[in-house]
Amino acid sequence: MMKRNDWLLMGAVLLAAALWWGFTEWQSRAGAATQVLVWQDRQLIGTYPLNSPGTLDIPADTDSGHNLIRIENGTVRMVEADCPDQVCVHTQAIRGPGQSIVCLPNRIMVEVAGDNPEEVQIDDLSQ
Amino acid sequence: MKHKFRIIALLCLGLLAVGCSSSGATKAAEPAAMKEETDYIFGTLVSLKLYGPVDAAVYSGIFEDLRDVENRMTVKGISSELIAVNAAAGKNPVKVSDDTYRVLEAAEKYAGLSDGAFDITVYPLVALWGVGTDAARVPTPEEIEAAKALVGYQDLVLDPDVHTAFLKRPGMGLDLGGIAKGYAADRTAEKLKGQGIERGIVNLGGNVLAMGTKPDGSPWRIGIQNPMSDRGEYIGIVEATNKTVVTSGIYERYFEKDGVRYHHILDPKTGYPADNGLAGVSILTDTSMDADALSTACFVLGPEKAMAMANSLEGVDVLFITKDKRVLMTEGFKSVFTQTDDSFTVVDGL
Repeated sequence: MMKRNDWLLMGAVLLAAALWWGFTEWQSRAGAATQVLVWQDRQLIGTYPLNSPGTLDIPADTDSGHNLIRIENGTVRMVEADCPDQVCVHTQAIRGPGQSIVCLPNRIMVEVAGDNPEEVQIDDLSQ
Repeated sequence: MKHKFRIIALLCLGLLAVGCSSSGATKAAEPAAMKEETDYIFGTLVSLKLYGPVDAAVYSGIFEDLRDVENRMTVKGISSELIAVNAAAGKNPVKVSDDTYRVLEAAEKYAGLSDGAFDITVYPLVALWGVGTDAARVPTPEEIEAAKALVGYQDLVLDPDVHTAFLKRPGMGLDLGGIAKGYAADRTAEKLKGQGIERGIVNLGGNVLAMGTKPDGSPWRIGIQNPMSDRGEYIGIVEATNKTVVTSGIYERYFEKDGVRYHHILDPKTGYPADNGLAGVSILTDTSMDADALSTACFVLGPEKAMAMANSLEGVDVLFITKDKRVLMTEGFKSVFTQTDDSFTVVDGL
């Protein structure tokens, strides 16, 4: 027969396990999903936190041209680009893991690190 | 003694719980090593997804080959075979390489099939509108009439014996933007097969060619872009084995002026961006070159004529998405398509 203290101990151990699990889960989500990666011509040129207080402006000035990336309120968007088509500037702000904004003329890609839960369902996208 | 045993047992249970949770939190390993390499070619993002141990030289070899194709078929650089043909318009025929000739021949065929809805002599209009360039603007009606008069695939003369191309009138021009990427995807698949690579995905700026099956033998799952979104969302999934899926849409390249969106798919007959209620067209077939030309042709023709053309061609399936979020498909498309976005309505006719 288990005594009262045994139940308490078991409860405490399980609670500790649950807390530990919650902590690691939180850490992996918060840590992995909230990095913003900036690539220029396939080279990683910078990594920034998605959830930083205030506004973070990241100028990407390269031989190909000028881009300005803004991280604000947990979202990322392209606020300036000297490319002719402005497709990247028109793209809506991104926030979810795996989402990206591409400036083809300047070969700039901005992505939120992590796997896009929607994209896991498909192998590729016809667009 | 007994008490201690219980404590140890409980601690073990606790450790087990922690162990389980942490292994549950780590991601399952990929079933087979897929490696994706990307590069910027044809003014777009090119991606190769291949399985198994594939030498890095395979990827770089393909990219190099594609750049070579681009250098021959582009109209954007300083010189190319196409630029030479355009410069000699109204003057003399120009000899082109065998693969450029093959693409020109196919383009001529699809121009005839679509009654000029797909027309590679559209270059004067493309240059006038400049969609996707610094010079993008809405031309005057007079300018459009003048450019339109220079469009007409009947005035492109191809000589199969010597592989020359000749544009009969000065000012005419060729643009392979609606077919060259398709040719390049087919060519890439052939090159990969020649190196013993039977499965993978070739993606040239959204033109997808799915080689073979997935390693587990199931078909590839290809998303169809939601034409109302610019963030890579899709309306449904196509299951594809040894098939290509090419999509044309109003979201690809466009500019806005006075609240009106002008997209890049020009109707050679009107001289304006095709405006028939369509937002996107996807073609599912065996070769990417056919799919590339047909997606433009179908977009310009509109659903009714395009459906008739698709049904007359063997092994060609089409999906249309209208601006009011209706989806129309051929029977063959229906059989491999699964809708995932409920805000669209699948209809049997428009």
